[in-house]
Amino acid sequence: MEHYYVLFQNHTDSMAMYRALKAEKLNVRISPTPRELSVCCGVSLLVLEEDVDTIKNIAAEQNLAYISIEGLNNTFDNTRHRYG
Amino acid sequence: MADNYAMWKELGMDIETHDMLCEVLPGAIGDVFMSQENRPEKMDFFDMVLADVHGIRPAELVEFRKNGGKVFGTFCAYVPDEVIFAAGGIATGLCAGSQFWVPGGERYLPANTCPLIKAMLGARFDKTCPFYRLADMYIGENTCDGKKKAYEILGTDVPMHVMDLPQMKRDKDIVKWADEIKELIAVVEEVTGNKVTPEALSEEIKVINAKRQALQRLYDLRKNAKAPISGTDTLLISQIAYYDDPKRFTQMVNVLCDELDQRVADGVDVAPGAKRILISGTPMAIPNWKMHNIIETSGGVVVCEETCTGTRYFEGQVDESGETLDEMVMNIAERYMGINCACFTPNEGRFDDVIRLAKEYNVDGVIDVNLKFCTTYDIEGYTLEQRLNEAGIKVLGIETDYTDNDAQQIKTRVEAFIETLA
Repeated sequence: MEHYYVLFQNHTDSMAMYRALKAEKLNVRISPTPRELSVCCGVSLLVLEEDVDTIKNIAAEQNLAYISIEGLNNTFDNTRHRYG
Repeated sequence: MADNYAMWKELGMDIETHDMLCEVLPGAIGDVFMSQENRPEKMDFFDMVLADVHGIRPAELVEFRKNGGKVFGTFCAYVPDEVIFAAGGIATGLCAGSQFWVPGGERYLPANTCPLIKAMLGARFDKTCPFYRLADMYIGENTCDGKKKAYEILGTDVPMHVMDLPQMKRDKDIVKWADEIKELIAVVEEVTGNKVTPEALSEEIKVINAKRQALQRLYDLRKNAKAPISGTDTLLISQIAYYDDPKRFTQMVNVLCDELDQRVADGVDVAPGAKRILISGTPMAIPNWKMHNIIETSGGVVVCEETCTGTRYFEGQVDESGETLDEMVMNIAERYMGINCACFTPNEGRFDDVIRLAKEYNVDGVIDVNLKFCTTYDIEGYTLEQRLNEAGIKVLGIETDYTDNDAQQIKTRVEAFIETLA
């Protein structure tokens, strides 16, 4: 998969996880949730595939809420020039 | 997420149609923002705001209204937020930057109206924007004929107050604008049920000045030869400035600037070798990132915007020395009348601004970008080009709208322009 997303119920959970993963020096970015993964405009976290197991462990240890971690074959193409 | 749907339903939104917008935005954000390399880490706050743009801030405003607060929707850099906040209200920009809303607006307006105005009406009448739904009152201004007449139509569906902005800058016009601000005070006092006291207005003048200072600090950092942040990221910040909580926004911009200070010290450059571009012209509301995205994928880096989503929004402070309400209102009037919009005549100040900014930011060229059917800015393009030519600064004029259709054509022109820059 091209990208891996951690999905949440709300942005409060997203940001709690974001801070925790940042504290562990993981490569994590805030992203809108792709529609292919969930029907919402919510906040997801974009993470690296190799960190998925570590993230699950951190979430369990620190009791951080999330829905799931999903892979998606989407590309970020800065020359597509489609803006909604 | 489920909470958003409940809120949108409560706001009377057309959720099915709104879902179509939710469907395309994540892809656009991925292409325009997530594709960028070496972004400042402290863009994370602004990324969060953008990722849930119709969820997080609207939820705060809904909560504010449940506790009796009043929200005022605004469209323009001339509306003085200080007054609204001093009455205990909240001012929020109403964006109108998406092609998604344009066909809805065309049901009410002639096709040859600028896309910003068409999107305003589409967002309201199609019920596809929570900000448009939750505002208790809209505050308009007669900065162009299109808006002025469109407000009459909007006013059939939502309480509307239009400020009469003078179109010249004589002393008597500044006095006239001060009178308009006093009238706005009376309006917001009536809607909120709160008096605007000298103490409250003095405090809010400081709050909004601090916000402008933070934005000036951000822009000053872009003057460095090595760009510590992309123009596209900065545009997003300027767009969010219109509707986020002013104190939180100021804090987050300053946190970002702390990081940018370090980036400058470390010699970080997000666009090595790129030509430095100043954009002048019409406002770019969320999610209009078209020109920045095209320029920054064509060998350029945008280092300054002389637009309403740029320097026009934050340059110039309100004098904080006023003690009485009258003095403060006059100080506010003087600051806002210092903005150089194309609705004024004469408007030499704007041409002077562009040339000054081109030098301050050491740009290689200027791209004058105007929304289709924006007559005043379009006409000023002629004199602006002359003035820039006289100053030895290269300029490219672009007229466009929110559609994607002309993106490749514009890209070709921008690439050719950038090739001509020394």
